[in-house]
Amino acid sequence: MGNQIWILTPEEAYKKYGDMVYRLAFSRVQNKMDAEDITQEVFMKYIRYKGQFANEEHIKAWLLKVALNSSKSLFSSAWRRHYASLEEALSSGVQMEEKSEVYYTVMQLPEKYRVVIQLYYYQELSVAEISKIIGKKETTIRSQLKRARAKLQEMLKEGRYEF
Amino acid sequence: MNFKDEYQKVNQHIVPDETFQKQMLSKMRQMETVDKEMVTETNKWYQQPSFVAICFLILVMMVGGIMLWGGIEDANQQTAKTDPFDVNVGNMTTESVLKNSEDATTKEKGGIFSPKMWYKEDATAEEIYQSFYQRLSDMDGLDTVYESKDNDTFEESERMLEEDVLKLRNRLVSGRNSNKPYVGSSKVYYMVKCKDGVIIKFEIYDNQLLKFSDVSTIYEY
Repeated sequence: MGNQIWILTPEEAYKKYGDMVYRLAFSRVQNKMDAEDITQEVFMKYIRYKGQFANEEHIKAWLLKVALNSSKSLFSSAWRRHYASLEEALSSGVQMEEKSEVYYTVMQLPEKYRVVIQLYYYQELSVAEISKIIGKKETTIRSQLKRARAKLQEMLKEGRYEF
Repeated sequence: MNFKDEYQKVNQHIVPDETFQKQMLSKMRQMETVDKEMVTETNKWYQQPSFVAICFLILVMMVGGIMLWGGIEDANQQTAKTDPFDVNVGNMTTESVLKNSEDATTKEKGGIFSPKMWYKEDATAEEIYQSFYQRLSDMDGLDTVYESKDNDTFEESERMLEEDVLKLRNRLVSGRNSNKPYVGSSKVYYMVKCKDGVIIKFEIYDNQLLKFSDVSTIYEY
């Protein structure tokens, strides 16, 4: 805080990217309460951030990276005892259409695959951008995407979806 | 059916509760107002350090500096008498360190990340090593140390216990004193997370050489 010159004020940033951060957090923690905690933490960090953002794309990438890091901390924290099951999370926390087979299947993937699927197919980020955000090599991201697609094809009815 | 379209459609329904959204928006507005008030407050004359106070501080610092100069000179003379630093820091040549610094600076200027450098830009390989070693020695300043066989992945299960960190540090000390670098069985990667936000990755490889694998991966958020 202090003499911050906002490209996006906290309110504008939340209105624009709040759902994006929540969705990424939810895809990782699969739990409504934790996803909300992470969203809150990310935007509190945004308010306290002392650096300057170059543009909105910079803000977006920063928020995604902080959301991933915050959910990592949550995973490793000792007090995280109330892990809800996927069924519970989907039924209690998410108002979803009846046909949520795709989302449900993605949520059954291992955590590292869920994140790349979310960033690639929902956020429409390139492999290079994902690699910068996650902090892994592009080749690693490509191979994770490939494996995630293979698993999805195996789990979803074959030939029903084009990737 | 296209997977991407379907996935995007379903994602539109993943939204936080309305109550949560309202609370967040109200919090954001509140924080913004507080921020503006703080800016106005800091612009008031009594919040600004006066010219006289600054001059006085500079004077005190100059006098203090002159008084301390003698002590520092003595300390330098004593240091010069000790043996030269002789640890094998492998590929960490001054050139590579400077290149990495440039990479990091480039990212800072135009990229997504804001790297936090833990050594001066013009530091020598020896100074960088010493700075790194001091961080590893300061257990209170350390958050987590990971040891992994994979340069990319540092799992929670690979978190090192305090006694193992001490052992690692001791191995590096004996390398320095005896000029016989650490001899391990294979290539091992380490990631040191400090409480001040600095993250240092390094590796011990070829059974003997210590190398900072990628200085540009030092980020804070």
